[in-house]
Amino acid sequence: MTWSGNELRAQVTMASRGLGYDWGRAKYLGESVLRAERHGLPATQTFVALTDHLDTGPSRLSSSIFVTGTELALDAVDLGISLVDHLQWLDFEEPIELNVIGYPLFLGIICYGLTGSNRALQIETDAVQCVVQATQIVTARVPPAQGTCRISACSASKESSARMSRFAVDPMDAKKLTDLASRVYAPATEASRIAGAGAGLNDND
Amino acid sequence: MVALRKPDDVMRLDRLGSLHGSRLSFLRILLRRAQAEQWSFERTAFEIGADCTGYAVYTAYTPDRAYSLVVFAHQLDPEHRTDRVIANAWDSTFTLFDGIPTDADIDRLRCNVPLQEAGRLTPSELTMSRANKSVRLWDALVSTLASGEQPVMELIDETGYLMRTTAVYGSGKFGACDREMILDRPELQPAFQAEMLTVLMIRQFARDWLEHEAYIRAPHQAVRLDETLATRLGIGNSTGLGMAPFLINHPVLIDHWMRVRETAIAQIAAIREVTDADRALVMRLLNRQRNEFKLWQSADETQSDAITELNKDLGILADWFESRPSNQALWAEAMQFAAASLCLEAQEVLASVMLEPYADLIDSLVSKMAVDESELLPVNGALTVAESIAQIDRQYHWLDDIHWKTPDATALLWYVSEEKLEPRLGLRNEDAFEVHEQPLAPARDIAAYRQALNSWPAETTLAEFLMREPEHRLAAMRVQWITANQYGEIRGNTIDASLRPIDLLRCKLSFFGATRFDPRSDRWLRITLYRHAPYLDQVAETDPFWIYGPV
Repeated sequence: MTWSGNELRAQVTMASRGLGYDWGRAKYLGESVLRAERHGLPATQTFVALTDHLDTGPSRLSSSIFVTGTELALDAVDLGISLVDHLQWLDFEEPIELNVIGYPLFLGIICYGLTGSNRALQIETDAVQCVVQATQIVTARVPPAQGTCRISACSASKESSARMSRFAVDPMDAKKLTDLASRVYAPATEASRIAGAGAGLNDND
Repeated sequence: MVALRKPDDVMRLDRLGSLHGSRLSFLRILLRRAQAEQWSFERTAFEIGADCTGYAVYTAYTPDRAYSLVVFAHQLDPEHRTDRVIANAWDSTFTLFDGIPTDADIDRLRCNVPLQEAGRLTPSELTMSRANKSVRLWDALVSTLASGEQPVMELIDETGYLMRTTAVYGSGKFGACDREMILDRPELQPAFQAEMLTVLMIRQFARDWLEHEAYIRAPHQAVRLDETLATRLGIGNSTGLGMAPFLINHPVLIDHWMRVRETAIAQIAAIREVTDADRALVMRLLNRQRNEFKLWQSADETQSDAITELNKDLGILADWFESRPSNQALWAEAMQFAAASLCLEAQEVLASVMLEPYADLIDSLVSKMAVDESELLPVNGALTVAESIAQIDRQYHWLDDIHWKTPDATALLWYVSEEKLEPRLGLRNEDAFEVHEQPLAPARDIAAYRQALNSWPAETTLAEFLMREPEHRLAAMRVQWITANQYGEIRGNTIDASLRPIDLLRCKLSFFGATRFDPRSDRWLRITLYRHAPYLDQVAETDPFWIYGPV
């Protein structure tokens, strides 16, 4: 079974909320996973693999790491969203190095963070070189799940790469997302059934 | 140009709950394009048997593409006929197929579309829908037609539709095609065009199915429904809480819809010398509207009172026009008179009707109503706490009027039931708990965000603030969006005990082009789409003002 982009975004958003993230970061994750998957990166799988390890509380990072870089291995969600918040004043003329857990998801978050800008960032590990823009993520190979990457400014490409429109989600990953998303929904009760929607249960007219 | 009405006035819940359709309504946009491009329609299959079940296909041919409504007709036990999302069976189910379906497509769709939410669609499908019969009218019309007679007009007008849709899903739901994949098609760029096309063709099917049943019952005696009577039948729609979150979740899109409508109103109000012909056209249309409103009934006391007041005020408005011989600044003065003297419903009727003569000024604005939501910006973390507070104070000064410590201010809670993921509204901590709350209370959340910002140094960046207080990220993003899209925020508290969710529904439905709003409670209502519209074989030559009823 394949999912539409809308389904993927919605399910990741709900799963993120079910995991304990606030609605804002949940929305970021839905948008970011979709962007990464549109360009062939396994961000859904990466996100699901991370779910048992993510700290959904406030960030423990400080702004200075986006100037100095860090060798500390950090999860893609906290690191990515915090970095995106700082993008406005980071020019990356001096490259920084970050150690990312959940690299494909990290690339999706950066792609989302660049929305509305013409900037391009080169994000490279020893194994893979990626160029991330608002409209695309260009990479020759699927990046590793974890690794130290070097982020620097680069020229934006005017050409756009192909975008995927359907997403084959692994059944186990789909189940995990569904289970997490289900935490957001209220249990079905008879009282809710009758009163919650304010409508009758039989509508013959 | 006359200044636009202020967002603080336009986006009040009571005004949103008084809006009426206009030239900018989505179903009128669709029909105008169909006329201008001379779309043709064909019933390519009608495999409905003697038991009145089976399938049918209706195809719309645009200059570049074809779209086909695939219909599955069922037999439904009356006790299972519910318009709620939680229903599992319907009289008929539909999908809008991108192109012309093959037999294999029909077989695949037959296994999925009748299941609705439990089925799976593919990128070839643009919408999925279902509809139930208005049994009383349906049975009466079948009997009448089968006996060779025509029904009386009053019977038709009382209900106004043969079938009610209970959901029209699009944009990637249940595996269907994502909207962003078809945005390069001009005919689908304006909002909800695939959904409007779906409903237009469902209306044709409803009539065909009715006439088929009458024929099956009395093959030698049955007659077809008279054209004039048939035209008075629209398609009903039951709309509940599921539609309300849309207005809150898509603030930039709502801003574009409302801003274009307000821009149109201001442009027309700015006309210094109105021609006699344009004045006469508006007078005629107001008169047709008044005749139509006389048939508009609602069991809801508030709406019923509003209709009575509307009819009275439209009479006052007609007298005002009669007493004003000059055409100079006519529309601006009419709007001023209405704002000072007439009810909200009458003000909004006038605002809509006075746009009608000005196709050349208004219709091109439609292109500004669409938004690519994938381009909406994430939070700009470079803003300081002081700048963010200033943004809130400029856009959300109305929050000061809400007393959050009173229990009523946070009495309600929006949640989604695990039962078919139906959106619901409950009493906080009685019907549902905060852990299940949906983010549909922007007024409360932005007030809390404002308060949190207060405890930080003014020069702190939002990036730093959000690292420590991430729960305010959604509010921070919303404030930044609303700063540039001021018509996107409802000026009201969407979790207050006094909330009437139908005000939110009415706003969206007016943009669809719905008429005959009939609240059944404060949480759901019935409306009619395409009443007085042409059937598929008459789309090309219909009166452009069909929605106002017969001349």
